[in-house]
Amino acid sequence: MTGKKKVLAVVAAVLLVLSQGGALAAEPSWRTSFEETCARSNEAMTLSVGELTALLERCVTLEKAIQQEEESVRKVYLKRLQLCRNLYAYVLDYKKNSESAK
Amino acid sequence: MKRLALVCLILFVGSGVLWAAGTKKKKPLPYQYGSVTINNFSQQSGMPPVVFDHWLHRKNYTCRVCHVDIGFGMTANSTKMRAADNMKGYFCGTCHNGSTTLGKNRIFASCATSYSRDDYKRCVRCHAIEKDPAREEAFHDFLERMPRETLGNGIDWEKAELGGLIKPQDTVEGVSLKKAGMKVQPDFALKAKMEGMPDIIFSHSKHTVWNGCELCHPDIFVGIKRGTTKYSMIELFDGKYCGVCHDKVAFPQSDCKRCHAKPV
Repeated sequence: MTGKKKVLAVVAAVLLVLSQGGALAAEPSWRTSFEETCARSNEAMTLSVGELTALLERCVTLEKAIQQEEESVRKVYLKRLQLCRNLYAYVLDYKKNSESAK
Repeated sequence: MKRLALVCLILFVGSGVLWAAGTKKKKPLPYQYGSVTINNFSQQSGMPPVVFDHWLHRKNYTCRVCHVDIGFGMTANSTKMRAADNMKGYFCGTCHNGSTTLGKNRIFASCATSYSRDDYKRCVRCHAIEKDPAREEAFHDFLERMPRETLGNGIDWEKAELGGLIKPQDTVEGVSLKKAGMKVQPDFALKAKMEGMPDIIFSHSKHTVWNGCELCHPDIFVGIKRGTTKYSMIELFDGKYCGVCHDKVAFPQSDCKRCHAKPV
């Protein structure tokens, strides 16, 4: 490989890394938290009162972050968040009532 | 006096009959069963309303994908989606973007800001101007390969899914979340209110295949403990509880034996 080709290869590699970084930066910061929070809906019934409470707290923070987004994102993600949040709140309520009934 | 009373009676009965005839729902044809007309903004923008065929989509995707992961509401026009949302890759545009594939087929793109005469043919695939014989024919081709049912759109979707005739996708790449498997409770019986009517066998497993958890709980069904919520058939036929899906997309509630299935 000649010196010129080496420089070009290095430049290409740097550009590739930068473009990947750009793509990652394009992903909103709340997205990972949203995925981690709402991905647990299938196991909601097996979660403890503490875990459900923590998830609900994350939902409150997420709602504030999503509210800052543009209209389309807000429409989709607030609806998605509402579904998993309501499920967690509903299971938490059931668990608390079951505990107090014992 | 008697004559006046008789005339009043005839008028009263006659107006009752006319009112009933005017408000009675027309039973949809099998290929129309589950069709939803969406017209939040279409006509304002000079386009015909969207006629959405549930059968065409549920043969490939679970209800959960669209109503949970993509965010469509459970009633017509409740989503308030705009062409702009689709163009940004949300709602219909999640899959209808011209690059997503289903099997070997590329799914056609949904809305656009400008379109040629040729493109307009694509627009009217959803923004249906008039009755499309091709849509009806496509339904009948599909129906021929499916296990039959007498009501609804004539397809036993449950059997089709169990028998592997359809394999509805439960995820869309880049949209659906990676979730743990679900532990589903065994089927249970619910007491029928009417004397002589067999009890209901409710199967969570049959429902979660299509819906997951959060589509039904707590928005449609609030009670976790069996027997907490009391349902009546009047409420169900009014579109509440089971009636949110059954009678609209899933098999109609007039197919009593599908739910009241406990042997007597």
